[in-house]
Amino acid sequence: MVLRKHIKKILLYFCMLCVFMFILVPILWILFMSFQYEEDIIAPTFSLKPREMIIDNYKYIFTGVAPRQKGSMIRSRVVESARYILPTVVNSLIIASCVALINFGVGLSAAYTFLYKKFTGKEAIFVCVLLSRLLPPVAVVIPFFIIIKSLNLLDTKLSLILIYSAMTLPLTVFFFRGYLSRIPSEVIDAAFVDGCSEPQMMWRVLIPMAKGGVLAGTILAFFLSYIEFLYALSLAQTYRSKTMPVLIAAISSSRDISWSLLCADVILAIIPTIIIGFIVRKYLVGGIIPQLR
Amino acid sequence: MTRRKKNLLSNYLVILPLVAIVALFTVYPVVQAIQFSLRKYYLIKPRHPFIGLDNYVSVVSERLFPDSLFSTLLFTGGSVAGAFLLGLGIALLLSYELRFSGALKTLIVLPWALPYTIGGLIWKLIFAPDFGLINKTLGTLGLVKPEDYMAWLTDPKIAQMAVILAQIWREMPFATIFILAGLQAIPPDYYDAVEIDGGGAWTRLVHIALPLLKPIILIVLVYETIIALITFDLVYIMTGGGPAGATTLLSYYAYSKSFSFLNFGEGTALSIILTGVIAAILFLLLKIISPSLSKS
Repeated sequence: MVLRKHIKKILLYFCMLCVFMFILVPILWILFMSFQYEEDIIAPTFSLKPREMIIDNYKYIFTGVAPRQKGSMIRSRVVESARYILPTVVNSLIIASCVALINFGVGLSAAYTFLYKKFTGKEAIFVCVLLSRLLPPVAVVIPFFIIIKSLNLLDTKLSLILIYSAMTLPLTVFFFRGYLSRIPSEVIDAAFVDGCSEPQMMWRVLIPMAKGGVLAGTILAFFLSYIEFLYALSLAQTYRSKTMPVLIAAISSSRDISWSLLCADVILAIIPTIIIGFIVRKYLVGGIIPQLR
Repeated sequence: MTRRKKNLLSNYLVILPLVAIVALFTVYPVVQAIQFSLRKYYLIKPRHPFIGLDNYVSVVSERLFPDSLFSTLLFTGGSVAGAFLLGLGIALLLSYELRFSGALKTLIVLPWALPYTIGGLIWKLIFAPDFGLINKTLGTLGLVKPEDYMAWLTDPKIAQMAVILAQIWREMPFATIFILAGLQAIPPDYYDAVEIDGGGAWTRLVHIALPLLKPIILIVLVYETIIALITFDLVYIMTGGGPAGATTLLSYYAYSKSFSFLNFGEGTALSIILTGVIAAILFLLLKIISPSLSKS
């Protein structure tokens, strides 16, 4: 019996090790390559002797000083487009921040209204808004292009902000509603008895009480906008509005490619999303589960 | 009365921005898409004559269509089942509260926190022929000579499996997080009852955990199914729909019809067919799986 318990424990830890490796190895490998010489990356086998690690790839992205090269490295391998990661990440951050703000303002007040107010067609409107998310993006991307063109917004950040707001709002309204529904209505009534106006009550009672959920919902909208690819691919034409995923896709399919620089680009691009992931993870479930019953 | 009316009006005003922006980017585009799909619509041509259902007929009768439908269903089935089962497994593992469980609970979110494009890129590099992680590891261990390295993603079957694996990798954290939350919400005395009745781990899982997790399982399955059916970024980066169309999922197929061949008519017809497929599968999921889950 004791032996069986030990075997079980060893087995569980072995499973855990596998899960850790499955999750981490792909990401750590990219991180590792971003500190390597191009030659060491394209070498057919791993070298058993430890290789020199360099920060040249990052230095090139930030300053334009070409990475040192070992041996006879071809010049063209230093692809200039790798340096555009910074402006495209900035574009993505600006767009995602605006979408997050819109979601916070529009989404939170709509969620509040859907939850506490009574008006004709409430449920129907809510369901329709949610159902709009079932449309595959590829079905609407061409009409989007035409709408954006007729609004004279082609190749602007505003066009993507509008589209991403439409894309994220149904989800965040749903998510916010889940978090708000956990606040007991007595608390809200008490605030009104104390003479709070509605906006005051939202600001002083609802938002502080649903802090985590409100933060997570807003960040989720940020995240979904930051990673969106298809609409950006078809609407953004120049670096005025090109976003990070579009650049990464372009670099990774180009012929003259420096893998070490691409890996450094990837690491820079995912720093925001990883931070977001850690924050959202804690609150993800809370916004959805209350609505299942 | 006037005050009530005013209140009522203000409710609509509050949700107006939401409804307006969602409607502008839903209702109008859908109507447009349906119109396009009924016309011979090439971007470069000035006229777009009405041709009824011809686009649908010609799209469906193309050789690539059944293949694409099949690979979409294979991809969806494989990745949803994989992500769900793996997520369930990891959640159960985490519920043992071993050492490092806390670290794993935090780090599990990492694959899901990456953009699809970058997830696809990472797996493309892992399967890369000359310096990919798999080949390089095999070569370093001396199992394969560098000149015999496999170009994994040029084999249709392997490419299909590889995209499914990449999708499972990225999506299993979502399943894990939800199922774990569900497991933790089950009161421990439920399990004690099983123990008194002499049931083991399997009984606990099948007779207590799974039935109680039903709503969560449903949310995970529905979410993962939708995500899988509309997958585009992953195949765009990882395989470009190849080799020989083996990973041309319907959304990628519709996209390339519209943007590579500039045939908007057939492209939108395909994407409307995809919408129908999504609706049908979700209907099946909700009508068949949902009641059968409650029976068990």
